[in-house]
Amino acid sequence: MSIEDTFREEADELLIDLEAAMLELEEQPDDSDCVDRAFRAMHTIKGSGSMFGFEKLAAFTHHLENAFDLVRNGDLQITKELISISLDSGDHIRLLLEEKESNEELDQASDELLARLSSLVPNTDDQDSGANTGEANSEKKSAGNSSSDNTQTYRVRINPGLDSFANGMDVLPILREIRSLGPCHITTIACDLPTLKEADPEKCYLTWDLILTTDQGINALNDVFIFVEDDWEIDIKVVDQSGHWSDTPEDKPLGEILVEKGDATEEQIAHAHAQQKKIGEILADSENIAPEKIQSALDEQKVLRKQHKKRKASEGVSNVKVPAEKLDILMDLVGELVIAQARLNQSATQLRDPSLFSIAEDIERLTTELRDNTLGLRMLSIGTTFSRFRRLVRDLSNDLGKKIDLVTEGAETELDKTVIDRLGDPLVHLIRNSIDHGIEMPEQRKAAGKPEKGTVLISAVHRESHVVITIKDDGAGLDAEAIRSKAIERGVLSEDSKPTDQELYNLIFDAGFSTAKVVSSVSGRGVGMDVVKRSIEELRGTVSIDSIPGNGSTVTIKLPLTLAIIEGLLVQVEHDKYVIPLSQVDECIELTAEEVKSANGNKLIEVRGELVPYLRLRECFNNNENALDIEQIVVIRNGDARFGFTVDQVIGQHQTVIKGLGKVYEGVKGLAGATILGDGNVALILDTNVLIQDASTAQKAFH
Amino acid sequence: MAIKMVTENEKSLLSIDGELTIYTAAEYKEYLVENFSSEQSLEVDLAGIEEIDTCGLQLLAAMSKQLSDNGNEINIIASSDAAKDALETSRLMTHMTFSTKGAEA
Repeated sequence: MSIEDTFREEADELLIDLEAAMLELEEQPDDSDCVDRAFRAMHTIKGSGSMFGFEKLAAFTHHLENAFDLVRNGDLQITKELISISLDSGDHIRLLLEEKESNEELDQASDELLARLSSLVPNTDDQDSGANTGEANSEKKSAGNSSSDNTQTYRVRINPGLDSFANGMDVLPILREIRSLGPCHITTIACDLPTLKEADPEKCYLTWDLILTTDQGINALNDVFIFVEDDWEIDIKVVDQSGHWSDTPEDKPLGEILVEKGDATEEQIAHAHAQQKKIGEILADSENIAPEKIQSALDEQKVLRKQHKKRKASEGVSNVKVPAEKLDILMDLVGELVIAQARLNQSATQLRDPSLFSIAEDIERLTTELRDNTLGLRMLSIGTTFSRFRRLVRDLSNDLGKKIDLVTEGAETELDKTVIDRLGDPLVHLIRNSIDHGIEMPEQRKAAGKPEKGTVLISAVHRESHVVITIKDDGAGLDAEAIRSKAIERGVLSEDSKPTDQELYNLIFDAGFSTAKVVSSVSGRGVGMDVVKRSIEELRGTVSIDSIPGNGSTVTIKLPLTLAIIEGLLVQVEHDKYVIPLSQVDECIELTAEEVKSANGNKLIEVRGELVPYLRLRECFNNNENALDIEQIVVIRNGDARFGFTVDQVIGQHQTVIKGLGKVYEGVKGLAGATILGDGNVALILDTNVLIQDASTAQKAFH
Repeated sequence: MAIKMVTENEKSLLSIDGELTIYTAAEYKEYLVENFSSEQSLEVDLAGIEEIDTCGLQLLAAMSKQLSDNGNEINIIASSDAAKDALETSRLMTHMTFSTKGAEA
């Protein structure tokens, strides 16, 4: 990788950071942390840009950086327009990264953006710097230092005592001095203050609570009180210290534990929470504790939380960056090792040599651990993809004039890198759909008695060996009747058939199916949902949709954790071996020739009162009508239905390293890949979804 | 004396000029005991303040507390740089409505 590429990669990460900061600022315009983050990102892009000869980029970013410097100093307010310009500028910087050489079009775009920016940035001369400057400066000073490790947060209580004013003391200078040490929350506590009439104006009834975060050390803080410490009651306590915070594990809230144990549902907990008052309110209401004191405690909590977050973020510094390519190679090697280990096992079994046996066992254990760890390395949290959507939702809702909130859950859920990379586009499509077709215009929503602001919820959660991603909107939902008439029109459905709503909804995944009456720039051209379905199936996942008319629709995507190695069930049909993904297998049962006869040629078997259709792999792959006296049926779960595959013999569980079939066999239906067995033979991996689909269409055609 | 309370139409305006410190506190307190009432919301004009200390702030805090106990508001309608800085530093203004308009006046 050339140095330039490294810069591009780094700049790309910074731009993502910048974008995230902007989107957060849109929600909370006075979050100084976000401003700092944005500023730092721009500053680094500018600096390293000019270092690597990206002059245009550096010059452009310089202006942006200037604007945010003004924001940091409190001379410029964060506005929607500023955020909008910054987001566009971020996109523009991306373009500049690609094109190092000058390009007229880009130059023009630069000028336009800068013109927009300069209309916002005031001439600093005639701006009143305002009272905030002091605070901003002190915060700036500490922001620069906060990365160092000796940052501590102190709780300081100052009680000057009744006579301090009479002794010629004033508290304000002390407060000012403390503020210059770092970010500081000050609460003046006036609960002991008597009424004006009763008060002696020359006595001090006030006390102060401060939360100070500083890297100047306790001595600097003690120095502030050097002249007063004998008379005043001063209590300084360290409430947060770097290096110590990780000793105290965060304990889980009761509700979370109950849900985990299955003793309560999330709804129940949410309901209970809704009834619950905040402890601060309870104390203020019934226990007669001064609201200032509670406020001060809340401030402390807030500062500590921020501090912890910062530490966690800065911890990432110890990570090592590895090109994805190297991970792929490592994964391949582990795959080979798994295969070699299978061979070793086989030889050990054949030779019946006890010492070889024990080595083989050790190697097996190590291989499994190595495999799991390597897979773990490739795992990325899905959150990075989620943050991309925030921008998408913002831009789309602005374009369409809708009000939409994006809520994400389970951003920390991990998935294989390859899966995440290939999941982006289908998810973008689904979210576009939700926003364009699902969520109604604000007026319509109001008329329907819903809040004006629509919500799109994306959540990801681990379930067994899968990750389940749901995209849920509270829009109008799907129109079952419209889908039905469209399906009949297209000949997918016969007039007299009575599919369930659920079945109707899932028809929209068929090619060329769009019920949108208006084709908009965003979606509705009839291409899409089938592509989504295909992409998900390529990832060996499934997708389904459900909808409640008037209340929105929910798309559920179920994906395997990884594409590289799976646990499979090895089965044999005549001389060939096949692998069925173990995660899909429900059970294995015997099928006798008797039972086949009694079913009158229907390929159905009764499993504990339930009729399960099955497919004979002998017929499917070997064109062999002959049946053994006793065959095995592997019953797999396909959505809500169950389906069986008849095989000669079930061999057992097998760690399956998935290999592509190569170009020649690309078009072969029903196979998801191949794997190499311990004896060097090849086993084919069955694509059960396709096989079941083919079988059921064949069945329908037959009738 | 640089303190004046004007009450009309159920609204009071208090203006204080010059020094609001321990040196004036006793005097101003007497004036306020006479003239201040927590029965109606209060507007305070601090534009003419040249010097203010914690003792002075405490007077404001006392009024603020009595007003909010009665469900009324204290609203600082104007403040000099000195006054603004003191209110900011002590964060006393979180208990008061603080309108910045006319702050430069």
